[in-house]
Amino acid sequence: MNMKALPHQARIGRWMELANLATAGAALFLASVLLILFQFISLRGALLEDVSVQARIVGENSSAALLFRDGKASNETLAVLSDSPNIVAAGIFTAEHKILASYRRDGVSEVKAPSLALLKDGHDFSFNHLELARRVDIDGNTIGVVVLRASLDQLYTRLAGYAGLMLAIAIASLAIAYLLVARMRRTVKSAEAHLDYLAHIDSITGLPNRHAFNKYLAAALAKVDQFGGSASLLLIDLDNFKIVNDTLGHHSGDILLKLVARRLLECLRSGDVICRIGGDEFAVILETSDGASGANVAAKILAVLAAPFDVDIHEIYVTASIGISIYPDEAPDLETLTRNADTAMYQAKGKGKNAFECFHPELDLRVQKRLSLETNLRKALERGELTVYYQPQVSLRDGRLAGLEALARWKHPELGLISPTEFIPVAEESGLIVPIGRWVLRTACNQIAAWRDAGLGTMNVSVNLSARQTRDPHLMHDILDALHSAKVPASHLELEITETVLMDNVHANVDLLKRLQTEGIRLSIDDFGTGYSSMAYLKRFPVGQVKIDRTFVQDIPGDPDGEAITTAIIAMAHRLGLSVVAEGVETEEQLQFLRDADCDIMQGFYFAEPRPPEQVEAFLKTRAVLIAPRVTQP
Amino acid sequence: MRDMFLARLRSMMTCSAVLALLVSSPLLAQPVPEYELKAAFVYNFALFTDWPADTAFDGGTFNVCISPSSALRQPLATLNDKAIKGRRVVVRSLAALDSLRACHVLFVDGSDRERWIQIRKGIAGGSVLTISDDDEIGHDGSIIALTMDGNRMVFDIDMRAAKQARLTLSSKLLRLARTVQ
Repeated sequence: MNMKALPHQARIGRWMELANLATAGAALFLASVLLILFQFISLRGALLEDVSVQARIVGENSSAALLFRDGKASNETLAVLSDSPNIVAAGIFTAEHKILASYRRDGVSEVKAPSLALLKDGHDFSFNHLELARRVDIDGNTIGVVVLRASLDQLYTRLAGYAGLMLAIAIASLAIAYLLVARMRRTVKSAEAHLDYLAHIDSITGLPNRHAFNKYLAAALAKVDQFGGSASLLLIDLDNFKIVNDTLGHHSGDILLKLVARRLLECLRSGDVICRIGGDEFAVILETSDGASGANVAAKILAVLAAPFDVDIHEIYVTASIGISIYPDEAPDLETLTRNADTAMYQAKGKGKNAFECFHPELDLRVQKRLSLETNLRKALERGELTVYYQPQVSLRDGRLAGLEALARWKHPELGLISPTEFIPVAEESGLIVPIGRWVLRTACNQIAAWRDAGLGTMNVSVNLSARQTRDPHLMHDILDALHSAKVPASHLELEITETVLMDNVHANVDLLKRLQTEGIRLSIDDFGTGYSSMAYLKRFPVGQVKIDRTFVQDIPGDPDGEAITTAIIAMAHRLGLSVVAEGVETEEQLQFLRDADCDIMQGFYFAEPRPPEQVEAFLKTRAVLIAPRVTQP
Repeated sequence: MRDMFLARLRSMMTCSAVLALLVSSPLLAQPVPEYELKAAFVYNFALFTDWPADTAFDGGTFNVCISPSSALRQPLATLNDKAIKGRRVVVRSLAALDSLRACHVLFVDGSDRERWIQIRKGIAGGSVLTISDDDEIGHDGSIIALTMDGNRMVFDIDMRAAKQARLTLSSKLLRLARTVQ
């Protein structure tokens, strides 16, 4: 995986660690120095106290000796000091500062008679000695002075020991702190890495997710900005993944995604980045120096996906549509790059799927045109630019008019007549199909009423229902409202739903169709033969009629497959008790073939193109026999 | 007997006035003649001695008594107006024996041998620190006996006598004594 930590982050981390350690060390050092200083002061104070007490004891014990000038007794008193570890020399002086007794260790000079300053202060610290003078009083009179000299050697030895201990403690505590911090840092780091993994990795395929994709893309573009070259973005959309998910279940869908991801990884170079950015969408970032490799990789991807995937017991064929966009040639920034790749991908899908498309500015124009079409379409309803045309359906049984199919037409004031194949997909995608469909329904119902009121009799009209409309919760209400307000019986309205829409969500649609049927509305399956109908479902749908898709009618007569399919559909529909409508009948030959195949109703330019209501009235008035009725077998 | 004592005392007084100028302090500033040293010792002994709490100090004075005929009488007079135990020292001439009980310190020497028995009777039961430089008296009931040992002044202490007089001698003093009995 391309989840590498940036090297300078690691360096900063190491620096931070050292800085922390240095700070802690400095703090400990300062604390140690202060503690040692404190220790020095208190040791000095203790020594002073100690020596002072000894001076007092010596003074007390030698007061009588001082008075009686007894040097021997005084020397005996001082001799005791040899047991004191600190005191190296001592002397007892008379009030006249004459020495009475003296004590000194080997190699140490004798104490001298106290100076006035020493007598005044009581003691004097030099670097390695403490000299202390204490008056000996009796009955309020000073009778002599005791002078003691203590060495500071022991104090320094103790201080050194203390400092050594402090140092050892400081080093030990620093080491422990360092280990603890390092351990904590490792734990935090691994937790962070795990969180980062969760945030950036898609759990099903193990590929970076959309979040990571954005980062990678931004990084790749920044690299191009800095070092030149170019980057290609490939957006890959699996064409029929939804069907796999719906028919085999999510578990199989997940397995398929995993297998697809594995194959995609196999056909990429190590430096390329692949991410799963949506349910069935993948993105590949190529750091290329030429645009051609993007197409090469796309072709390679389509090739590796061509082989079937083994999911559980099923063998699944997966195709993909790929859109390619190149930075910075075709897009100046990240948003445009992504949008362009998306546009190209939809273009590839539009071209019939299992294809790749490189973005080119023309595509963008197409998208813009589509956008303006959508804007115009939004206004078309309000401005009354939409009209409904009706195409006659002729019964082969009696050769007369069997019904009309209502078809929306759009006449733009500037652009002229806009083809339904152009605006219906836009309406479908933008959701405008819902209000447009509702308007068509209402208009058709009103037309039925108008013709009836004009004495032209009742006429069955069929109206198309789009995928969006079937999901619209108000659909039922809208239909009944249209019928009621026009006072048209439900049996005059037929609703056509394409096979693809029906199969898209079988359960919900069975439910909807049953409710429509309960209301008395007739139902028909449009574009029959193009979807993935299951015969079992066909039985469950409460439909009365199927419409053979015009692509099959085009092929007859002459194409054996087309003929076989058409004959088979008619036969099957009749067996299931359904009537059959053939669309797109344009020639006498087609008519003849369908008549022979026992088709029930026909519709097409051969009889009449879709016309405005005024022009349909002629058919209604005459109700003439349009073709020769079927010759009924005796 | 009594007249002779007083006569000696009188003759000593002139002498001691001269000596008093020489002895500026009882703390023995410089080498001093024997008597001055003895006077200083008497003072120092008093410093290291504790009298019983019930001891009477009439007039608030600390009385040092000495025979008027004693050779130490003159040097001892220098102790006048010094302080012992916070009391002013008064050196009294002990002409008569009736006021013996008022003495706190009593110095006796060879001239007092004849009446030593009387003196002992007089001070019996009282708390009087007896000091003597006479060899005979010194070892016959006197609490402290001063002796010259070569050119050093030494002293012996009779603890039994001190106990009888209910006096407490400081251990510092005892430590310096040549003998303690």
